[in-house]
Amino acid sequence: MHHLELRSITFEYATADGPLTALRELSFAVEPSEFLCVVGQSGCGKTTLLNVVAGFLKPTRGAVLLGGKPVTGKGFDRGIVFQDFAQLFPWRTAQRNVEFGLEMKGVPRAEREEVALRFLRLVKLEKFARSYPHELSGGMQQRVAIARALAYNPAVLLMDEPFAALDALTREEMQRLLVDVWRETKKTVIYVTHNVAEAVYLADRIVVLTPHPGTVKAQVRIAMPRPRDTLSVEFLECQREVVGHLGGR
Amino acid sequence: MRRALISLAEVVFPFVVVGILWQAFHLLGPFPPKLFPGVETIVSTFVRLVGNGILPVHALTTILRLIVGFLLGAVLGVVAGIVMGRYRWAEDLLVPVVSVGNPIPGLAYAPLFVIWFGLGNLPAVLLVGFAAAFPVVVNTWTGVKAVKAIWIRAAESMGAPEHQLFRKVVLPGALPYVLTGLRLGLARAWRVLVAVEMLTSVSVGLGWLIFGAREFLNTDVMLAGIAVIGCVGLALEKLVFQKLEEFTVVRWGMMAR
Amino acid sequence: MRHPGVVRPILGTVCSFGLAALVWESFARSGLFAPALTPSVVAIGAALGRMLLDGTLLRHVLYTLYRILAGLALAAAVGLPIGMLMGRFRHVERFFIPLVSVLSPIPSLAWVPVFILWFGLGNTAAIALVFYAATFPIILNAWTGVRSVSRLWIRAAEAMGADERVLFQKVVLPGSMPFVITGLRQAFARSWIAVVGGEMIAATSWGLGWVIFDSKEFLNADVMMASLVVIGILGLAFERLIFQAIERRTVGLWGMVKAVAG
Ligand SMILES: Nc1ncnc2c1ncn2[C@@H]1O[C@H](COP(=O)(O)OP(=O)(O)OP(=O)(O)O)[C@@H](O)[C@H]1O
Ligand SMILES: [Mg+2]
Repeated sequence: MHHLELRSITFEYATADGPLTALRELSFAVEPSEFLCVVGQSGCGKTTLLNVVAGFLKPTRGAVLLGGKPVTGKGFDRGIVFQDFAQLFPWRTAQRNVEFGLEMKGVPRAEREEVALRFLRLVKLEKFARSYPHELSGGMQQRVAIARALAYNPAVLLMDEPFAALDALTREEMQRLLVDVWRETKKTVIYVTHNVAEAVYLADRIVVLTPHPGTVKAQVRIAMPRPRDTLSVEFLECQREVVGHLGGR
Repeated sequence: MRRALISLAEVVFPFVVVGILWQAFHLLGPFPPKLFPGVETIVSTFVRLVGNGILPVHALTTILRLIVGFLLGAVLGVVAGIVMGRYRWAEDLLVPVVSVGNPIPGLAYAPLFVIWFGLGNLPAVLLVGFAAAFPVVVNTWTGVKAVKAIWIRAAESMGAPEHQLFRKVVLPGALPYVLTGLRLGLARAWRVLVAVEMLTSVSVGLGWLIFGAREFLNTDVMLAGIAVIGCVGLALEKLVFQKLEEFTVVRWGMMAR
Repeated sequence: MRHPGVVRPILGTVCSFGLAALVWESFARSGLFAPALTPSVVAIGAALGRMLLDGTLLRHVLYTLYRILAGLALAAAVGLPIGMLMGRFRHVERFFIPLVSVLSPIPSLAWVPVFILWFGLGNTAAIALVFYAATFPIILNAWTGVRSVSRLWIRAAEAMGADERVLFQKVVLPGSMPFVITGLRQAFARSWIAVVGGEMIAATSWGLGWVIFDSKEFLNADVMMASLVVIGILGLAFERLIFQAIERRTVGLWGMVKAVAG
């Protein structure tokens, strides 16, 4: 059985000029502990797709199945990291942000603190546990957000271009860190991006979407061992293949 | 130590300048000294009124009325503002009433409150609460609507139920606005109260002290009373609101220092 | 905007006022207070019509408006330069901050008895009162506005060769506009309160505040309520017609603030 499955999802936004189809008959599946990247041009519906999986948007047609059961609405089982740095609660320290999900689960305080610190250590921020978000850099805030999404142990981690607003150097560092975190936690990840190199670096498999409205154009398996050398011939070859799917009509 | 002295001098200096100008006007201006007393008269009146306990009694009474009335208005305003911010029906229903009621000076209702509730503490306190509630409602409502959708989504994805969402996300997220509302509400309450004390002829209170002094042309008493009013207002701002802000929204980086 | 279309807000407004009138009406008829004290909606409307027809309402409104506008103009003439200079020069700032922070929390109405002694009953005292009420919001907002002008814009303008005068005229002034407008708005709201209160305390025989106070003496609750309604409508009209229009034409157009929908 697949871990997560999308069955011919169609999503329409209600706009002033009638329904606007953002996703059409979109289907794919994710295996347990798989790192799946979704790439597509800007405006093809990647964010919409993630919001549907997260349960913030209800698909017009089709269904999302988690462990074989259809998901309805939001729930503990999916953690999400947004692109926006402002996703952290400014009134809570880094540690208290990470604790939030555990708090909602009713985990006692001492255990909460311990788990939060463990995940902050995982993203190399244990020294900043007591800092408020505005005292951290953008990259650090995104790392806290990742720790926060992992801490309450969701089955799937959803990420919407979490590093898009970072500079190239920081982004590279964050990608390395994310791979380490993923190997450590064995999470199932759906990672949305329009950056092909990033997808090839991170993914076990890449789902390429067509431009607006989004549907699955192709799937590319990346079998290279990690850590991946971004300058190797193999890497560039994979990159070329994905770009080919993206560009071709 | 030296720095402290310098900064003290910097604060005192403008008042010295104003004092000198005042004194010059007192000596050379067109008003008789009874109507435009010199600085020394105002200060000695102030000391005398504090010494014989008159000023403290008036001030304390006024402050007590302010606190009771303001708390009433603040609680009412925050609750109404949150309900308006979260529920569409409440918003549709209350926004027009609030946007017409808000610009009407609280004082304009004073006669109405007097004919309903008579003279004394009750109408004063109720009116203060009523007037203070408007800015609190408007700002709380705005604040609740300004809470970032991404915070709500993040909290929901971590499984926060409605009441937790309220307490742990909506309220702190709206706090910068709520504090602004409370601050405006308190300023408004303060203004209304002083005026009401003049109009409803309560027998103690700073407003009454000033107004009563008119009968005997005691300009020095009026000015001493005004000075106390200014100091109380300043103290409320510096000791209550600035501290509250420092420990919350400023600490969280949601508001610049 | 959260409201697509115009039907919903209008419907909301109608419902809201309908409800308010209904609550008032049942309150008036409940017998909780003597009917003379809680006139029915019809009686209030009739009083409003009467005052409109015999021209007294217009005269009251004009008196009140004259006092407000004169005081406001004076306050802007004094407050804007002080506030802007405070924002631009540290010395000016240091001099005025202590004064402003002691004087601004004093309710303007506390000055009424003093002003009456100084200027006698009449327009001068009322205008002085408005002036006192309006000056501080204008100063504080102009000051904040100038400080909020981005260093980047100033550097850019200087790099393009702007001198102090041009800088002020072309960068600082428009850059601080959102705050200046807010200041004028707050000043207007405060003047409104000051003038109504002043007219109540210092009876001058004309003006909306005076009508309210006068009708209290004779228990004319209908006239009182009618005047309250007029005060509310005028305040709203100023906000909607004047301030929001200014805002839409300037800072709203420049995308510096989201203009409020009409
Ligand atoms: N709230 C909305 N109402 C109406 N249409 C929307 C809404 N949000 C998105 N759309 C439309 O749906 C389509 C997909 O948007 P989406 O945000 O999912 O794209 P995206 O792939 O995430 O783009 P990007 O890479 O720029 O973030 C776009 O054409 C957009 O115009
Ligand atoms: Mg997107």
